[in-house]
Amino acid sequence: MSFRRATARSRPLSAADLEARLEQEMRNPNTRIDAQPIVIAEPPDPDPITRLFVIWDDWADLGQQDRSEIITNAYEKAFGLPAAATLSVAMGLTSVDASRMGISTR
Amino acid sequence: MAQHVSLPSAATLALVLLRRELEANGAETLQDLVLAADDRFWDAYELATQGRPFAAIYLAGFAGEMLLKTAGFRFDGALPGDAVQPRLGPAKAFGAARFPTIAFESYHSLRFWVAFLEHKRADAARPLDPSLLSELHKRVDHAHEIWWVSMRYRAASVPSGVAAAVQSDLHPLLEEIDWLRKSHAALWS
Repeated sequence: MSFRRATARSRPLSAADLEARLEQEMRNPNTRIDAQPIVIAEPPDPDPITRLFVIWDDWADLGQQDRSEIITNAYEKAFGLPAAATLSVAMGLTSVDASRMGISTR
Repeated sequence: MAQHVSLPSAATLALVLLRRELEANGAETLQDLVLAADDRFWDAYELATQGRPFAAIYLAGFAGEMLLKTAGFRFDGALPGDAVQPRLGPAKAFGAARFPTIAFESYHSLRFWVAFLEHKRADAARPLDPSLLSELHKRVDHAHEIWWVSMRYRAASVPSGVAAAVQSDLHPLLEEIDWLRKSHAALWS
């Protein structure tokens, strides 16, 4: 039997699964350009990446803070903590959010 | 058969509508937090004058947290209209990489946000003036000793001797937070 202390704010049940799938996408991007999750990294090369936008309908039920943590954690697992520490923004969007914000993936 | 339906009062309805309006505005922006910090500071001041020191400390600490958080994010390139929450995950990673011994306390730690600002400024080769930095540390260390976010789950029924001490430390805390309000632009610019 496992014994765990509850924390003031627990992660959503789906967070670990989403994080693992996003890490996989970051390591091996899908060749289909419209396949979600769609990861947009800014600024363009050769400057270091400081902003990540991830469009994914699978996290529609999650809040922005959870999405931000999932993106950052997945990025850290894929590329290491020093790389994650260069990020300033990790924003998770659904396709509806992205459309509303005028973000195009084409 | 007649059903009993309880309708909300006009006041409740107004508050429900206010909540819906605020939530419909979307994620909190930096400017939302700056304005809320000002509101919470004056709420705390009002509570202090009414002999409610524990509640005053709670709100004053929140004002400090919001001011420090937004100062760090402004320096890191955020604009007033930018959402706060997408910056939280990266802030936690930055802290883990650069100052791992300072707990982030679910993004509520005053010391965490001072360290965030200090390290971001150091990385940009734009450190705070030493006297300003010293003052910042002194004031935030004091506030951090008094305020913690989970105090909201504690009743303020403290022995009378302690209550007097709480009251006596309240005004210095309000001064610390007032200093943060007045120094906010200097911290991020």
